[in-house]
Amino acid sequence: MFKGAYYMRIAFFPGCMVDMMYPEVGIAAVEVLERLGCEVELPKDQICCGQMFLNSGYEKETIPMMKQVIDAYSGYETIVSLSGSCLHAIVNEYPEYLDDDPDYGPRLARMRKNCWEFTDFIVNKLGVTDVGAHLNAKVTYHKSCHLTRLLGVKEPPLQLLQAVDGLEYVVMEQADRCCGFGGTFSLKEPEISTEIVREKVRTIDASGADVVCGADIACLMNIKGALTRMRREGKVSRDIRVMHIAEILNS
Amino acid sequence: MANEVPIQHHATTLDEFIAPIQERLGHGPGTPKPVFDEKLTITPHVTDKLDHAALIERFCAEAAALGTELSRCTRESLGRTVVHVVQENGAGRIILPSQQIFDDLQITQKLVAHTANEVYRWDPAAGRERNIELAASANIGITLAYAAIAETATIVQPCSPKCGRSVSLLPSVHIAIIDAKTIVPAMRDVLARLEEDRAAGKEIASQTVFISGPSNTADIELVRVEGVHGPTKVTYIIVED
Amino acid sequence: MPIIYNKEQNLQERVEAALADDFKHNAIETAQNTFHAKRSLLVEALPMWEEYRDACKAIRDHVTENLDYYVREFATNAEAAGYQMHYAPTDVDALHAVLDIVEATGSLSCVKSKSMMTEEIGVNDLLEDIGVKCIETDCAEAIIQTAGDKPSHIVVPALHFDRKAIAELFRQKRGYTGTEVPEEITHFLRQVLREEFLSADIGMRGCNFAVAETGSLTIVSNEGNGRMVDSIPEVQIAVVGIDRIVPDLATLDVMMSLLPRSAVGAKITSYFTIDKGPRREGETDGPREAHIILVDNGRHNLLGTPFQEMARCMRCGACLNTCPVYRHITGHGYGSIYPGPMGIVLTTALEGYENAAQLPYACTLCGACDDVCPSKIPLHSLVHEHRKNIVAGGYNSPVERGIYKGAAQMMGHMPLYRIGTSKVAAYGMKALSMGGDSLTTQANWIPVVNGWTSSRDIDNMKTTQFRDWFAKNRNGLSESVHQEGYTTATRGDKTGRGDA
Repeated sequence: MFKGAYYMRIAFFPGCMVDMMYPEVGIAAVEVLERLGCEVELPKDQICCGQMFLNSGYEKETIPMMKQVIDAYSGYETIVSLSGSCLHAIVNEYPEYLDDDPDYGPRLARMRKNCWEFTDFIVNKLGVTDVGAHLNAKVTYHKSCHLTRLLGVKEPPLQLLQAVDGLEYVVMEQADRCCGFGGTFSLKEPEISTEIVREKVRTIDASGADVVCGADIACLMNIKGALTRMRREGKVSRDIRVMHIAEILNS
Repeated sequence: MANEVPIQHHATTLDEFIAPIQERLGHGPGTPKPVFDEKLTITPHVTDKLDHAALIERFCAEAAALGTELSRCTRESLGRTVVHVVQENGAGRIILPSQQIFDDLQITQKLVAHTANEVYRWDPAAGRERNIELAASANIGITLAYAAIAETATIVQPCSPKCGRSVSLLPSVHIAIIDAKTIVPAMRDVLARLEEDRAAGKEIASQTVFISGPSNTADIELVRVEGVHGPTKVTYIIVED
Repeated sequence: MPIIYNKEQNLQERVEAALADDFKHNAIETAQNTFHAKRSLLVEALPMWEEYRDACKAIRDHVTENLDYYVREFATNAEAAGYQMHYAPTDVDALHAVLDIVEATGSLSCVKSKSMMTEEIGVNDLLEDIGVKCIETDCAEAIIQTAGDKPSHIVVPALHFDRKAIAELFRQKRGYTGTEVPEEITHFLRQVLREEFLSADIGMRGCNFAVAETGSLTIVSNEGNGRMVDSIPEVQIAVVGIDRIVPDLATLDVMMSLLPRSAVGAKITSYFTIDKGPRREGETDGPREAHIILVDNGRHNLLGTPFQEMARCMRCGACLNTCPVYRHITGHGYGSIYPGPMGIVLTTALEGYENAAQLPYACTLCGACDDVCPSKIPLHSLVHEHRKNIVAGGYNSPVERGIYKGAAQMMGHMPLYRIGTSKVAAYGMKALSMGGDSLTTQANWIPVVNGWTSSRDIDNMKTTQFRDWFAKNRNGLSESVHQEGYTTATRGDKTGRGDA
């Protein structure tokens, strides 16, 4: 393992989707962070931030999950989340429920200050934009809503991408328009979700990119699902790869 | 019918109307005047730093961007300019306010002398029907603006007994004369002037309209069409000394 | 309340119908692109935009928090200015006020300029029922009225008709003989509506901002129909919501800096009118008598709730013009006169969960609306707030509740999570996908999931999870120890080098 100028102990929050469905994305992120001098830990008792339930209106049901996350992570000085969406829930939505809790309130308050989103952490905490990655590809970037708008992490992913050797960054129209995932929205209102994601895929196709990347796995899962289906249906004329930014930074 | 309207009903009083609002807000009856921070209304505008000459230029540039025709003249050449602009806009009736200033500035006289158009005045004594009928049948309506706004190339037109609402509304062409001195940076400044008038005991007009170009719509396939219910064309004449 | 105009179809059915109409949703997409792009250009060029928004929020919140005071101040000053005041706690009361005025004045016809408040109380139906000719004079509203249709946008309500359909409609119903050129159709409307303006007994209008200190009403328009309604008929009726009040004339500057830019992407509209009372002595146009019907219609119930923030809404439609959902389902997908993000929040708040519990789910919670709202209403959070109330109040289906509760339990319980995901689901998906990496159409028979798989693939869950890899390759997982309000984390057992 690289032991460079930094040596920082961090707790990694992969998000349950990475854990269940995309372990390779989590692995890539861990390898990038380690290469940058971080000692990465994964708390044993963390599962899901509960945002999906909270967004659907299930507050009572989500509180145990919130507590579970706080129990797992509040002991760390630095917490790095691979999902802007989950992090938004933790940082901006948990307080409504737990601020007044004598036990969890103070721990949450402390923890919130220690939380970073993956790309924001690399650029603004570690001060690195060039992580030494190399990828020969035309890449476009989907700006996930919660990351971009609600957490305000706009520049770091672009800074990181533009520093990747061999990578040609191409702009997609309306990059910050929602992909139509919206957690349970995609299951509850599949027809609307489908229209939105299919339009997103068409803009990705129109950008001319060979790779579409993003920093939130949920959006990417949605985009990939529509992209592969549309490719098979002949609605997309070429192969476009879907990659998490961590995978690009690890290439 | 969407709603069943019962025959019997009771006219609600203001107190009854306010009661549930008061209750929701937890206020008692006779709430004192709340403190309103007037600073909130003093907002900056992009035109604030312009001197007066630049304000006039800005007004002209904005008018051009809106597609509003504009002429500039002096007080002395105003009559001639009005005649010229009228001639450019064809024949038909002209309706003028009956404000004295239109005679003082020789506008009425020049129009009568130098154009073939019929010239009518908005005459308070003529009554509603006659005035509206004249305005509706006029091709051109001419008004003198109360003020003008550089940021948006807007003119401000209050109504009065001598200048009805219809003069700048019903004719196909509206010619607005603007005294360059009355051009201000933003709507804020016009509102402040209205406030000053009010403080000085001069009541705000029953209608004050801010006009920025011809009436228009984009309701059909977002295609801009000029000339819907108001004038199809607006022309400004700026009078500089 | 006629706010929800389509109660026959549920959300699903309305959405399907809207999506099936290609012209309709393409038209809305184009409109959204156009308005949004024009707005963005203007806003980006204005360094003080955020300052305007903050001022607007502060001014409007101040009024809301003192609404009792401002309603009284406005009503008192408007009355002093010569308006005849009518107070309508409900839509039915507002209709009664209209009836009274119609009766007292013996009126037989009414020209209307575009007003959401008159739509909210359903005045057109009433006038029609009592035999008063009621003419919508906004071009788009005239199209809608002629077609007997409903608006698909709050600012440009007839975009779902193309020029061909409009020309045909007017040929059939209004004796139009011209071509499909928008200019020709518009000038035809100018001509026929001009006659209506000049002969109508009543002019009916809404109000963008009501000024408390002067008792003034304002109206914003491009077409000039607001001015016509305001200048020609002898009787004027203004239907005004209690959430339209601003403190004084000076506050209009901020409102008007924000409204046209947000609504249509223009610095200003052609007309902005400030009215004060009926015509004065010596004046020969303008209304002889002017009435204000001040309407509450459930708005006071929002005070003291999170939805109080909706009182700041100026009905500009900027949130519609940026919403990814509205873009596709159009106004008709919502079935309410108030569509899009503001529509979800307001319709549900006014109509109650018994009537509108589905609407808050027509939202991805992407937050794009919050960013464009000129009065900084946290729209997506308010949609979320509705969802919480729906769940807490038991307005959603018991089946759904069961699913969520079960899933929440699984995701909050490590052994259940491990079995449920890496064992049951992962192997199940693998089997379903015939050994592949993702599910395509094989899952189309499974309820809920098929919503996704009918149009998208989904990658399978993995039997070896990220945590398995981490534990195996990175010295195990860390243990958290919580004591006395403080948590310490201890590195896993493999190396034994706990560094708490």
